Amino acid sequence: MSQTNISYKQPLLETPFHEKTREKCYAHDWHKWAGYKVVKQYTSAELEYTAIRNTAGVIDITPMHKYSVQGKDAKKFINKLITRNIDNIQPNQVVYALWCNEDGFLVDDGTVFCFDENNFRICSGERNLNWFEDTAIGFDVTIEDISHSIAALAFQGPLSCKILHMLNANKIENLKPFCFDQFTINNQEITISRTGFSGDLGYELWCDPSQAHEVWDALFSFNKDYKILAAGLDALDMVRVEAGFIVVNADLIAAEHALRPNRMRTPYELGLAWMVNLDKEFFTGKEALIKQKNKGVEKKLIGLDVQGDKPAVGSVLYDGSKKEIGIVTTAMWSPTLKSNIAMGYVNKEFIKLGSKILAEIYHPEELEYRKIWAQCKVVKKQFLNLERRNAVPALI
Amino acid sequence: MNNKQYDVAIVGGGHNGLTTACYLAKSGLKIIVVEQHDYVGGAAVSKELYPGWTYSNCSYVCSLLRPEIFRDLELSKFGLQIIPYEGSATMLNDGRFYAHYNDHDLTYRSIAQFSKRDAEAYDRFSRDVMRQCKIIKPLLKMTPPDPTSFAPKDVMGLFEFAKYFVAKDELGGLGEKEIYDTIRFWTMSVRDYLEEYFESDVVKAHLAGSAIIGTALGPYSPGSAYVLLHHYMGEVDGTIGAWGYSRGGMGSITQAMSKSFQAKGGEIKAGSPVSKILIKNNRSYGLVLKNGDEIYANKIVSNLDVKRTFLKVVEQKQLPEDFYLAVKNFKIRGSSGKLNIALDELPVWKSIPVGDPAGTGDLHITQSIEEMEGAYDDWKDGKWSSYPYVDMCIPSINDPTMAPQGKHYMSVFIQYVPYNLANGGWTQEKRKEFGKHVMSRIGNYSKNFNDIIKHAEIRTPKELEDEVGLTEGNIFQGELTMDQLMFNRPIPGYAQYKTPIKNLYMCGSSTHPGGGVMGAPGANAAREILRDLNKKIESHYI
Amino acid sequence: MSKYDVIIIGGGHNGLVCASYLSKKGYKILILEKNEKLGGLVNCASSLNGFSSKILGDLNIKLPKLNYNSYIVALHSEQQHTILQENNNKINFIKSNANEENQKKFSSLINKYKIYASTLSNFMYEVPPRLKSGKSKDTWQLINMGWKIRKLGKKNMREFLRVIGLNIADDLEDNLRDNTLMGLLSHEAILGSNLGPRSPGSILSLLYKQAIQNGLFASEKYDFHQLIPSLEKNCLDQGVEIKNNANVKKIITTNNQATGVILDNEEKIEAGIIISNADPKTTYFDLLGTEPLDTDFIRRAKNIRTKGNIAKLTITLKENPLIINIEKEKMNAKFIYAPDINYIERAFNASKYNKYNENLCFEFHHCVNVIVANIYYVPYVKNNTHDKEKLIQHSINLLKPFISNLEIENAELITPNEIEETYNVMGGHWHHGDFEIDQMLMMRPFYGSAQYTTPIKNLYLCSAGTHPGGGITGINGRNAAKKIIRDKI
Repeated sequence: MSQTNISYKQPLLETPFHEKTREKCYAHDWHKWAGYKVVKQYTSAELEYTAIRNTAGVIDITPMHKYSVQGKDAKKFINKLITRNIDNIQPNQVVYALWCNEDGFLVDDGTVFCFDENNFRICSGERNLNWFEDTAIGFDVTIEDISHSIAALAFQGPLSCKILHMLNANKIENLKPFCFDQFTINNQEITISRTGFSGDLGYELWCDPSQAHEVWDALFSFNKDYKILAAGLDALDMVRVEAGFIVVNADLIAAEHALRPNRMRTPYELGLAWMVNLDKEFFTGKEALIKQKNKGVEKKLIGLDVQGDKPAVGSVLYDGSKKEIGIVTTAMWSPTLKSNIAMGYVNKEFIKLGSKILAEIYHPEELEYRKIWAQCKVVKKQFLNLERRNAVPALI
Repeated sequence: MNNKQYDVAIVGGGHNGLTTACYLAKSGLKIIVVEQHDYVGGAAVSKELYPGWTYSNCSYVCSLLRPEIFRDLELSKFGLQIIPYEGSATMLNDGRFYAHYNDHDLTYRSIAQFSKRDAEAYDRFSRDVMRQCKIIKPLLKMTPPDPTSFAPKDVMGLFEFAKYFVAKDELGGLGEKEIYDTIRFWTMSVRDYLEEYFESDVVKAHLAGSAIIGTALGPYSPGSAYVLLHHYMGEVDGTIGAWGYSRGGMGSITQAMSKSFQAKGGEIKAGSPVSKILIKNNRSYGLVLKNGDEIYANKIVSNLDVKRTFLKVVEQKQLPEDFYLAVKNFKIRGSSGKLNIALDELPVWKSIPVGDPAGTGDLHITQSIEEMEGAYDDWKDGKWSSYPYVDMCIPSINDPTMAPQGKHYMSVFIQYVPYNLANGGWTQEKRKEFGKHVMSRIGNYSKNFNDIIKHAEIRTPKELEDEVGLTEGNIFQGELTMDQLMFNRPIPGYAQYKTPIKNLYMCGSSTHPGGGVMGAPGANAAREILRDLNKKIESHYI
Repeated sequence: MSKYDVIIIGGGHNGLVCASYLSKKGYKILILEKNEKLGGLVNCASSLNGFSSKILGDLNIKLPKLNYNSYIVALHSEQQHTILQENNNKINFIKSNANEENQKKFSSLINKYKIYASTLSNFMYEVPPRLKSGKSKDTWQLINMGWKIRKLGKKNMREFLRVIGLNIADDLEDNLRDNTLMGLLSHEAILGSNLGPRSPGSILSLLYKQAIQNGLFASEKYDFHQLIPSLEKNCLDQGVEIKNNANVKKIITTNNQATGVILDNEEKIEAGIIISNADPKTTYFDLLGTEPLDTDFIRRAKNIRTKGNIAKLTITLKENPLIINIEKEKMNAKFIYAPDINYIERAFNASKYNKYNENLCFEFHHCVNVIVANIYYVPYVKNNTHDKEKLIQHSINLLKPFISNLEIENAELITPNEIEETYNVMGGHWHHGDFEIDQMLMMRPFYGSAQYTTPIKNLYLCSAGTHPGGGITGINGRNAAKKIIRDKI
């Protein structure tokens, strides 16, 4: 899809899968994502969610921003950019990464694909061209925004490997988590990575826009045997909450966009300390993060098990004496866990697992909000931890 | 002889004079507004200069009018409605155009045509400018504290000013970095500021436009970045940065204000130029009109610019010498021209397709910041710009009341035009020549513009001075440069709407926060007067 | 153990001053100078009037005093030159086309500025405070600064707060009528900056000049050529080692800490503290490299404005020059050609677009048969595209109408680009960066690097790019040394 051909009549671009997704999107429930029109719900988010946990769901994730990073300093550059150390990264490996500004606040998160020493690809939710280019000053790398030249599908769920296997993706079951390789399905040579946003067994398929229809059709070709569904962003959001993944602009505001300085968050505040490698020689934000690590955080993103079944959307959190101690960023009823789960920020006194707090829930009931005081318990953010997610060989 | 006693007499019925008048009338005082013309409005007027067409013949866009004032004066009840712009565009020589839309994604792609990097940087830029808007918004409403004074009011005022800077980060105060950014934003040139974000000429030129409108600064002049804010912080229905038309032209604003004023029992005396403010024992007590009538009032408020007030209607002998000199040295320079054009049909642009919403907002003609600076260089030499920065809009597209069916009214704002031409001053011929010069520039970007002009009113700073009474035709009643802002505006030591003469106040745009049809100077002046009178009123603003 | 405690990169005046202060505290210091000759940009300058006498006192350096009264000649295109002299802070007009009232106003304007300048000079010898560090030391320093401004009194403080944002042309036109005098003061205000007389902030730049300089038009107090040798001798006497022709290629860091430098010849020298007398941009982008710097920091560093504007012309004549309508005994003068505000402004206009105008401004003095002139505005241009021969010819043509015996034996010209090349100053800027409000005090060179420190431990800055800025004052070097001594105790 050409980006230069713009018309006010079409404010949103269509992805290479658009014809296919439109066919199935009976609900006509669309969503804006990075300038693209994508499906929010095809028919019902619950059904699509169930497919991801039960068979498999196909999600169009083409709007993800993709940047190619090439050149002799590519690895050095990425090591300066992100908080993890990729000195030992191998070709065909993927890492989840965070990058921060000089104050240690998160600029964005994303995945880094290693093709070889001098050739990487970064996928991210936010636009990062300026940040990458400015970080690359003085490095011998070329950064290119290739978002529009790669089509992408997430294929997530317990049957995802089986179906790819049935499509003759050679030894796909041996592909380890956070690895990728070239595979041929339906005569199309494409890249498949064992990555995803569902906390389940799943893959992401990367191809040229011209291959999009063939790839889509292939995935659905066994639908008479196994019913997989195209899933919209609502379903994807449900599975990511169960998996405890954060989303920029939902759980925090990216440092480059935050109007109010106090809306930015550091990896420590997000509970992502394991992603920060302070032993590394240098990365942007290192000094600030060392300081924060030594001082400790004032507040932190935690998981909450909320009493009752009314989702604590937008709730303010209180301690026993009803003093404000935090807020909920994301909340939902988990169909798999049959639990009322939430993520939110609480003051440092309450970040310990098992801490008891109160949520003030305003629950809409037939035009009126009912105020509910719900007991909550601080739990691990990863609400759902499935064995099949990381199993090798994967479930066929 | 007709003489009557009032509580307050206001000289000049511009939007600020009327705003002050409304607030004062609300408190039950007996108020009179004395206006030289047969109509009120000052520079916010709608006029039918060609049968069937309504021209907003001075100011042409409404964005800065404080919503609290709108609400306090119940302007909607008295007929005011604001129609938001749908977009804006800059037309280029090469047949391309650069557009901003209300839709963020569309704007992103429009910028990305010129530079992907800039399209992304635009978000960061908007964020940073928005931060500055958030900082300045409360300052607009504030009477500038005198930093040299130890009076509790001033010390508290300074503290209020410093609040953001001092408050803890967690409490929404500014971080150290943001404080430096603020100082930089207030003192840098708009060009240097934009260079830090953008690489593409057209992006910079499009954004720099609002920093030079009405000022005698070029985009390279330090201090011009701040002026950007004066146009950026506009607000339409809570959307910061949005611009809009006033339905029925800018005159609707002042018409609504005058109705609101009259509904509160206020009296307007139109067609009555004031020749003198009566002062005895350093106290003002009345006005003398041109026809010899006198009007007496306990307090006099001047909506005229500071130069006109103190060099024309107050006698020099009444003023301290320092003050008189400072007024004489007040910088108020005409730098803008205006064309009001009646069109037979809608202009068709060479670059912008018919129907594109970008063509319905404000349209700029400029190629680069260099070109704009060059236009300023011409002005400094006492010439009108060879390649002027042109800011056009066609309100009649969205406002059905401005022109006959199928016809259109176009407002063209031109930067830079000098008040005095170097080679012998303005004449009828030169004014026409100037008009032709601008119209031929516009004509170059349109397929039909030259053939659809029915009537054009050409206004140079001279006309603005003669007609509206703005000294040298400066649209802000005084330059918005660092030396004339905040507690320096208009005269250091007299920035609190008061003057060296007791009972004489100022409420025009010469005072803080300056021009732009905001109403803030008028409302701030009203607050000071009410405080001096120990009166309280119910208000969202005061 | 390394042989040195401190390495100073660059043997300009600030480097030498910094070394002098530090060596007094017993530090073992090595100065590395790229060129054959020490002094850096001092070699481009022509006046020592800004050099801090406090520093000379502290270091016990006695520069031979000059005992003559020189003149200031404001050249006039019709040879009706204005001649003046400053003695004991008083300006005497020897010859002027301006009437007495204008002469008086000229002096009183300068005196008015002097009051404000003296307030500014209070801040010169301080490490600038941070605005919101949360440390009480900074807060007190800020309150103290505010207090000093308040001490001006109501009237002066108001005027001070007004004029710092004003342009020089406006204030001159409000007060004076004489074009030559207005041109002369504008010249003093904008020389070396990227401002025209009508640019807001040009008064501030004049105030700053007055703050560091004792008398705008005062005669040279010291022999200019003695400064660097005296500083050098002072350093050597205190055991400082100086290495010439030693160009530093890279500053070595380990774990965010500067540990040494590598020279062009790959020689590696270690030291506990590295001080860069190179301008901030050169220091960060060339010497240090961006690798150990945060992205936001790089963005800020990139944004420093450092475009130079002055070319230096040196011409050797067959005999001593004769200026038309100037008597021989008054040839001991600084000649300035900046005839009126609009002329200067037009010269400035061209430089904005990286061009130069036919009608440039200049100042020059002569020594025997050599004329040294500063020609402006000759902008720094990317890729050095100036046609130098043409520029030389052009500059000579500018001088020609005033010199009756202009027979040239040799002419040399250095463009801002060549200043960049020779002295390692990015943009060839005299002051290592424009002096405007957003690049002064705690914002010079920029946030995060403004207190002579850098994000790299033990790497410091001492160049004109730091507070209080350019001019040959030595204060940057002194303040940096003080900061280092404070940090290390």
